[in-house]
Amino acid sequence: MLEINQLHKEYGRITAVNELSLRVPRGSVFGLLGPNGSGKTTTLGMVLGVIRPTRGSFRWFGELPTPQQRKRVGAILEKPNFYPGFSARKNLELVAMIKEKGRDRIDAVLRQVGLYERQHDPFRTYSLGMKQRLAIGSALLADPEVLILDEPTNGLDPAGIADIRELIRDIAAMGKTIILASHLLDEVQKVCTDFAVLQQGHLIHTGPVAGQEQEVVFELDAPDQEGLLEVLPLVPGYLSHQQEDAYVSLTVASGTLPEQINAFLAERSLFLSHLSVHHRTLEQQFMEILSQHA
Amino acid sequence: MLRLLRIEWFKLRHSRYFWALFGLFVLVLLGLPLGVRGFLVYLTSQGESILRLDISAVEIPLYDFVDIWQNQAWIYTLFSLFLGFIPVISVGNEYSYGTIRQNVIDGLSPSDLFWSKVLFMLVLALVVTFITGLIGLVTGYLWSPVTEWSFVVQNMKFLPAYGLHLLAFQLLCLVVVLLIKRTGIVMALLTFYIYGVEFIAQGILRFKLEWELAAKFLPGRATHMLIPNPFPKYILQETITTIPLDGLLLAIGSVILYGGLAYMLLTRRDLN
Ligand SMILES: Nc1ncnc2c1ncn2[C@@H]1O[C@H](COP(=O)(O)OP(=O)(O)O)[C@@H](O)[C@H]1O
Ligand SMILES: [Mg+2]
Repeated sequence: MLEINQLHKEYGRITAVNELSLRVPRGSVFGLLGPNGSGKTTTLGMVLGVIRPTRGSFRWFGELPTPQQRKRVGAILEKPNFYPGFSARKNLELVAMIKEKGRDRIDAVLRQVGLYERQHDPFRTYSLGMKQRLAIGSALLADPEVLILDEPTNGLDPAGIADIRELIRDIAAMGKTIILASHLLDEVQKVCTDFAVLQQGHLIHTGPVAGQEQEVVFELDAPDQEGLLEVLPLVPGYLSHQQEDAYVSLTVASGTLPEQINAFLAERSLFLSHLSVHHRTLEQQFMEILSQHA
Repeated sequence: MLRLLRIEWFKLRHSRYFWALFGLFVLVLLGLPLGVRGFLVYLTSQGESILRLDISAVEIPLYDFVDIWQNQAWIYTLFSLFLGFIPVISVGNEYSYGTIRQNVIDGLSPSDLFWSKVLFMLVLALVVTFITGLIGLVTGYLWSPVTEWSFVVQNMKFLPAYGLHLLAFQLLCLVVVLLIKRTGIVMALLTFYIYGVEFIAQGILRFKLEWELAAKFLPGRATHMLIPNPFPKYILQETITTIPLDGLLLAIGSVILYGGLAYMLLTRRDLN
């Protein structure tokens, strides 16, 4: 879908993006993760044709970039950019004119992002959450193949954040490729299938988001801890275990249910005093990645 | 091409600034000839005779065919900043709203943006020239003692000259707003420059240093040198009643220079 080759951007002495190479597979929800100032916006700005790369290249849909391709991409960069005096509908009409597509979808999109009732009010009267939703709606207007969202929950309250994330999940469920830039691990974890980590313009990791798909971590404890440790390797789906301070952490293949573990141990007369599920979080992954690059 | 023009027209026709400025400008275009005429009628009614000549004020041949076109065009060039503010506000606001960047993200190329702005300027220049022509014809037929067609059309060449000036002048304003990107600052700066700095610089260059050549290249003046000041003739000084070649070349040169600069500024920079 998107292929980036040694893309590089310098602002004077600052290197914002450093020889970045990246592939975003079709159908993925791709997280671009990194702290503020790590070069996420600059990278997206380059592939969207508003920032000129110092060197390097990229391809959309396997082709060299043209403005025409951007009509197949829906994107917001950094913040919602609209004409403040125009209503939501007017703004979308203009986007449809530019994209030469999507005029017939304005009503549907306004409904999808929950702005149908307020469509005639000027953009400047909207709350930040409404502005972000309009931005996502506008990105969806021409029924794009790829959606690029740069920090779409920035500055929103928890309810607004939840709204946006639900919207993103709905869109992903429609089978669109999504590129989501964020400095929030939690956000990437909650919605992404693949991710890349940027640090000071360098790509330091890229790969799938490991989650329930691969492995699950349980915390468990029993009065008879020795007996527990003995039989643990026999648990269905066993991968590894580790003795922590107050409990034992057990990593098993995903799909293993807590009740299966409970039943298995009960058969061997081991009764648990504690059992909880812990997905291996992206945070842990992220920390591991960062420590490898320290 | 037409699509780019439609996009710009959509942006402007829903913008209050555009209608306010354009309306104000048209009011000035209408108000000037009516106001001056009214003043002359008033002077006549007061029984004043003008200068050393023994004619009444209404008999001053301001609106006479042949003369009217140059008089009108020259006077109007003093007010071109109203029109120049239209691209200043439209482009300056697009920078501050971030919509110029969003337009490109949505699928316009930076050169599309350039053409949508410049084609619209061309249309504005044509519309204003057309309005000016209408005003000239109406006021001329009302108040000119001569209305023979051959006289009516004789110096009409100042109409297209005025149109060319309007295009060049708007392009100059476009370059400034692309460089500075702040609507308010650019408006203040242009006002200060056109009505202050350039006026004084012109005076110094022409009359103090007698360096006429340098004065021709003052950016604002270069766009309207093709319409020479006709009014000294009313105090019986010699005036040029044709379009001077150097003025014409300077106006065309301005269009090319400012157009080229604006194109480079839009296409060769990051859009932030
Ligand atoms: N227009 C600019 N001029 C100079 N430096 C810039 C500009 N835009 C971004 N930078 C710098 O480039 C780096 C990356 O910024 P950015 O891509 O916005 O990061 P992120 O989106 O990950 O927060 C930062 O150090 C930032 O200060
Ligand atoms: Mg950013």
